[in-house]
Amino acid sequence: MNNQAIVKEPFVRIKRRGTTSFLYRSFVRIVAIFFAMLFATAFLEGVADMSFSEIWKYLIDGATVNSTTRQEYWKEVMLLLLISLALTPAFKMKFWNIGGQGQVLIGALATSIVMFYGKGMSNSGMIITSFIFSIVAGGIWAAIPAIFKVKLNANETLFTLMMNYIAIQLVAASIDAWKGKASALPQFNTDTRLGYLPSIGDNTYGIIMICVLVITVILYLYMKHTKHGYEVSVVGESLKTAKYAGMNTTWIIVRTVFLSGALCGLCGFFYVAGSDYLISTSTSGSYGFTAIIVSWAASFNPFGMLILSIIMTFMSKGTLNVVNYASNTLNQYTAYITVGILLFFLIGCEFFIQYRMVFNSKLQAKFDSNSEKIHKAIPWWFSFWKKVADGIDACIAAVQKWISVNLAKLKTALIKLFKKNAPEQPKEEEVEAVVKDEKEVGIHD
Amino acid sequence: MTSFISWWTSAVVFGTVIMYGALGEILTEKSGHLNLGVPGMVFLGAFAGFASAFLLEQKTTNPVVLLLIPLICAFAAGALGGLIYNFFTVTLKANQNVTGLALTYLGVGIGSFGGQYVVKAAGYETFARASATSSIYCKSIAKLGGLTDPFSKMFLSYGFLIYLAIIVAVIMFIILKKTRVGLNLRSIGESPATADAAGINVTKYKYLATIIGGGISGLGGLTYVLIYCQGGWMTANSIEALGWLAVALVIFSTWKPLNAIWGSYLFALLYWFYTNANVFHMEFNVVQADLVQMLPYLVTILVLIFISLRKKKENQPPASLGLNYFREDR
Repeated sequence: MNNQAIVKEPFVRIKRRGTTSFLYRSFVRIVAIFFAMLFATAFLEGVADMSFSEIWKYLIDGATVNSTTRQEYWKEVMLLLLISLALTPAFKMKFWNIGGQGQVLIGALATSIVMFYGKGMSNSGMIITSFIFSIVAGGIWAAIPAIFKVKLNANETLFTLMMNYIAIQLVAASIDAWKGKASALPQFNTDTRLGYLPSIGDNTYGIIMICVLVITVILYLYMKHTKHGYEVSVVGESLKTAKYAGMNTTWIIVRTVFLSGALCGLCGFFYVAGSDYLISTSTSGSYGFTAIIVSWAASFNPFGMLILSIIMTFMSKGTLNVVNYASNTLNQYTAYITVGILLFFLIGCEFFIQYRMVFNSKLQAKFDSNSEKIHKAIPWWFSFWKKVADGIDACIAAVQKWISVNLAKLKTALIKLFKKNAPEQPKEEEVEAVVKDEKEVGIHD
Repeated sequence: MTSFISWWTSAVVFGTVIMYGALGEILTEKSGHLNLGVPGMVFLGAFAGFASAFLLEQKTTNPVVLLLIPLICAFAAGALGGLIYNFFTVTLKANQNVTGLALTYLGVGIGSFGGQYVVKAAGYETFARASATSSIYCKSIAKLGGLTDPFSKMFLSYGFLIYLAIIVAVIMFIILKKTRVGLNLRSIGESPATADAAGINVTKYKYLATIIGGGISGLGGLTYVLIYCQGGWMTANSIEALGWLAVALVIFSTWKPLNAIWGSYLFALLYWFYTNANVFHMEFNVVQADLVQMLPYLVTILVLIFISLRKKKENQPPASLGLNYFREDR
């Protein structure tokens, strides 16, 4: 008898894709964002009682209507981007730091302490002191759970989460101590503007923007082209492999999480010294959580995070603007819903990047015959798109190759410059070989 | 004594909110899914319970309707949150932490937005109260019988949701420990591949555990709105903090429903310690009170460290917690 007849073929089956092209990944994400926007707009149309064009006018106005909104918009983009960047190295190591909010608050608190007590300092002295304080404070705040993770394997997700609330209470206590009998804490040093980050031209947040963009590039290089970044990805892939390869995993994890917290602390510094000149328990808002999804949805690519931050902030700022112009039944939480829709579409689209759906043979035959018909009707269509895709892929590969070649050149040049008799540097190939061996052994198991 | 009783009674109501959240999460985590969307599901439940009660009150005064419909709505809203989470993590195999956080984000958004929307649409400025429904939910044996002795005040003066939470915990304990269904569920949490090979329908169990767990979490929101806030709608962030405490309580109770009962009351007592310090003849100023409010979180961290120190086998999380199962990966 035919065996095939007995086995019931499922309607649809899921199969893992191998590697996918950059173009395909981008295409899926763009489609997801497009549908999310449509969905969010439909929701806004329903609750705000406006037409499609009105909604989009207000959405765009929310980010661009005048120079103040533009500055505010880009500041928010940069701060969201900074937290996403901060969390990335730790995530790549599979260390779930969901305490970004707390680390930002502690950085902000450190800056506030300097600004509150250091009245006798010079302006630049205060900025530098608070900068260092915030970085160290944020780093230590994140390193505490990391140490317990590596020493005792304590669950880092909950540990960092609880640290958020401890940070919130610390900030609340400081505010209550500083404000005395006043109803709220006033801005720091409003008369002397001591410790305020200077503006560039008439852009109040110019320094923040430049710093964050520089950090984006540096972090990209750090993750892709340094020994540290390599170690981080090995630890993330397999802790055992890293140990067999002779890496000091304890030190790598604590160091990387410290870096993660330090960048969050820096974000707190920017909030207090560069934008709010004030601290509150809601200083970083819900960015600690949004940033996690931004970082993950961009597959830990800093430039992807930049694009996603731009879109997310556009959505939240735009929605708030729609709310302002709509009838008064709406409130600021509308932005949570539109951004939430965007988040879920981004999470969902990852499925289409990692898996493909295999339909049963009957259905597949139908699809095939249909696509054949289209092929016959417009044959140039497929070849045209294939050429475009190949071209873009080739360009990207070329750029990547150019970067890595030039970086290698730069590295050797620098080594020559600083250490004339430098010892044999790269051991990475050896480590890579070990990793490969390990993987093969794993397969044979 | 009277001050202790008032501390205890407020803690029991508050603790029940956490307990529902934690019980739902224990059920979910037993199937191997770490759902960080608990605050979102509690918020969804709170919103659905409040909105249905508030809107129904303007149409009817039938106590049975006012009792049942909000209960069903809150459960359904929480279950819907669980369904969304499960669709993404089981069917689309998305990362569990990320999906959970997104669910929290969306749940808090929908809850806060919807609650205010309903209140404003009904013509109130910022605050409205579903008082008739709340009074039904707050009816207690002590009140009905006119009992005022300390024992009845401490144990009999609550609405039925408080006792329902304990019943749910006991039922969960029995199902998880004494029945085949519970054994299957636990085996999926430990090793889905083994369970699959043994012929257990992994996907079905995961869906059911998460959806029912979400529904139970949703009841926490209902308790918060109708009993703790006495029917008033607040957009305070305290629901979100409560949701996270529920996640912490799961660890505190080492994934055992019965431990969640006393754990939740302990958490609530610690939470309200700063306003009830006079029980121990202590007095806090504002700053000290802020610092004392850290207590539940500090205790959770200590427990977390303690559990990892002792490494007892029966106190460990389900082995495949947080890992998605894909049959073809074997």
